[in-house]
Amino acid sequence: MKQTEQEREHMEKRISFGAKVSILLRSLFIQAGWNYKGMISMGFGFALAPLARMLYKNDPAAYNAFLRRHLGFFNAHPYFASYALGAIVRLEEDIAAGKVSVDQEEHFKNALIGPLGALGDQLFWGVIRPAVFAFGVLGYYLYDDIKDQLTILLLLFILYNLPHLYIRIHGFWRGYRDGYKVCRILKMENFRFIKRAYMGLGLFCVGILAGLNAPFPPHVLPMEFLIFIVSIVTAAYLKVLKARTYFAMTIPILIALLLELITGNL
Amino acid sequence: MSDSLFLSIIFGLICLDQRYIFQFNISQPLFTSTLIGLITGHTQEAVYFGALVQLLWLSNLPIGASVIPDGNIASVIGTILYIKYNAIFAEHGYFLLLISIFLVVLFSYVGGQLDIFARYRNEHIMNRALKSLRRENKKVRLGPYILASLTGHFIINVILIFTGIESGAWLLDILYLKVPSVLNIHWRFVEIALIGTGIGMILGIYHSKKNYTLIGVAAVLILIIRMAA
Repeated sequence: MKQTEQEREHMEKRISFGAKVSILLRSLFIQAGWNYKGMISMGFGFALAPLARMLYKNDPAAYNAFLRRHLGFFNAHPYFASYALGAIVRLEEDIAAGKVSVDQEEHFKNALIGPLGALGDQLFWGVIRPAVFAFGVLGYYLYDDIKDQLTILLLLFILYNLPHLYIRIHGFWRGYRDGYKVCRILKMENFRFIKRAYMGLGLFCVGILAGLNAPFPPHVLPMEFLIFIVSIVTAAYLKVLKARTYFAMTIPILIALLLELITGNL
Repeated sequence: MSDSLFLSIIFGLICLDQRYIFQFNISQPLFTSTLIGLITGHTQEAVYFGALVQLLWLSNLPIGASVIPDGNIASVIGTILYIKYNAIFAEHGYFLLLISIFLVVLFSYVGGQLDIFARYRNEHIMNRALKSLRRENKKVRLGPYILASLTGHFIINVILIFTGIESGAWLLDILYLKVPSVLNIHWRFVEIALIGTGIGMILGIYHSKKNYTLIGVAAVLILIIRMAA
C-alpha cells in the first residue's frame, strides 16, 4: 500500500506531453540570451520553465530556485542542446522525487558541455552547413531562372533543416528516455552516416564549382587562370593557417589587383 | 530612405535567425539576396551577388564562444547597395562589385563587434533575472528577459543595416564622381578572384588529402566534360 502511494506520487511528478512540446518549442530560443557569464544558460532556463511550473506549482521559492540553478552556466551547440534538455527534464523529475541530488545533476550537466559542443560544431557548422550551401551556390550557378532558384532554395531549406530538426526532436526524446545514459550516444560514430553523406555532397559540389568556374583552356585565358589558381591557393593557405576571415577574404582579391598592375594592364 | 528603413526592419528581423532564434539558416545570403531581389524587382543582380557572397561565407564557422564576422547582415547591406547602384551606373559593374565586397567585409567586422556588445548586454539582463529570482514569494517569468534580449538584438540589426546602407550609398556616391568609368575594365578579375577565394576558403576547412582528392576528381571530371563540349 505504501509503495503504491509512493509510485502514485512519483507518477504525478512526470511531465505531460504538452509540457514536453512546450520545452521543445522554447528550445528554439535557446541562444536568445547568449552571454559570456552563463553562455546559453538563460535560454536553457527559459526552455525548462514549463517543467518548473509543473513540478513546483504551489511553491514559488522552489520554482525560482530551480530557474536560478539553471541560469548558472551552460553551453552547448544550439541543436544538440536538446539532448541535454531531455536528460535534465528526466533528472529534475528524479530530483523532485528525491531520487537524485542537485549536485549529481550539476556534474552531469558540466560533463555534457564538451561532447555537445564538439559534436554540433563538427557536424553542423563544419560539414552540413558548408555542404548544403555549396549545393545551393552550385544550383544558382547552373539555373538562371528565378522559379528554378526558388525550388533550389526550398530544397536547400529541407536538406539543412531535416537533420537540424531531427537532432532537436530526437535529441530531446532520447535524452528524456535515457537520462544519464544519454552520454553513451554522444559520439561522432553515431552520426557518421549523416556526416559522410553531407561531406560527400559538399566536396562534390565544391569540385564541380571549381571545374565550372576555372578559366579554361589556360593558354587562351592565362591571366584569368593564374588569378583563379592564386586566389584558391592563397585563401586555402590562409584558412589552414587560421588567419582571420577578413584577411583570407581580402588578400586574394588584392593579389589579383596587384597581378594586373604588374602585368601592365592598369 | 524609407525604402532603406523598410528593408532594414524586414532583414533585421530575419537576421535574428543567424544566432539568436530558430537557426533555420534563412538569414544566409542565398535566402536574403533572393528575397531582396523579389522585393526590389532586381532578382538577377541580387541573386548573382548573393551567390558570390555566400561562397565567401561558407567557411565561416561560429564555433563555441568565438566572435565571427557577421556575414549575413553584411551581405544584406552589400546586396542592397549592389542592386541599387548597378541599376544607376551599369558601366561601373566590376568596380561596384569590388567596393560592395569590401563593404561586406567591413560591415561584417562591425557586426561582429556589435555582437560582443550584445553579449555583454545580455549578461546584464541575466544578472537582473538572477536578482529577481532571489524572491521567494512570487514566481519569476523568464519570458520578459528573453524578449528584452531579442529586442536588443533586433534594434542592433536594424541600426546596422540602415546605417550600412546609408553610409555605403554616401561612399559610393563620392567614389562614382572620382573614379572614371573607363577604369572599370581594370577591375575585371575581381569576380574570378572572388570565386577562387570562396573555393580556396572551403578547401581550407576541408583540409585533408582524401577530401582534396574527391574535390579534384569532381573538378577534373567537369573540365573533361567542358573540353568535350
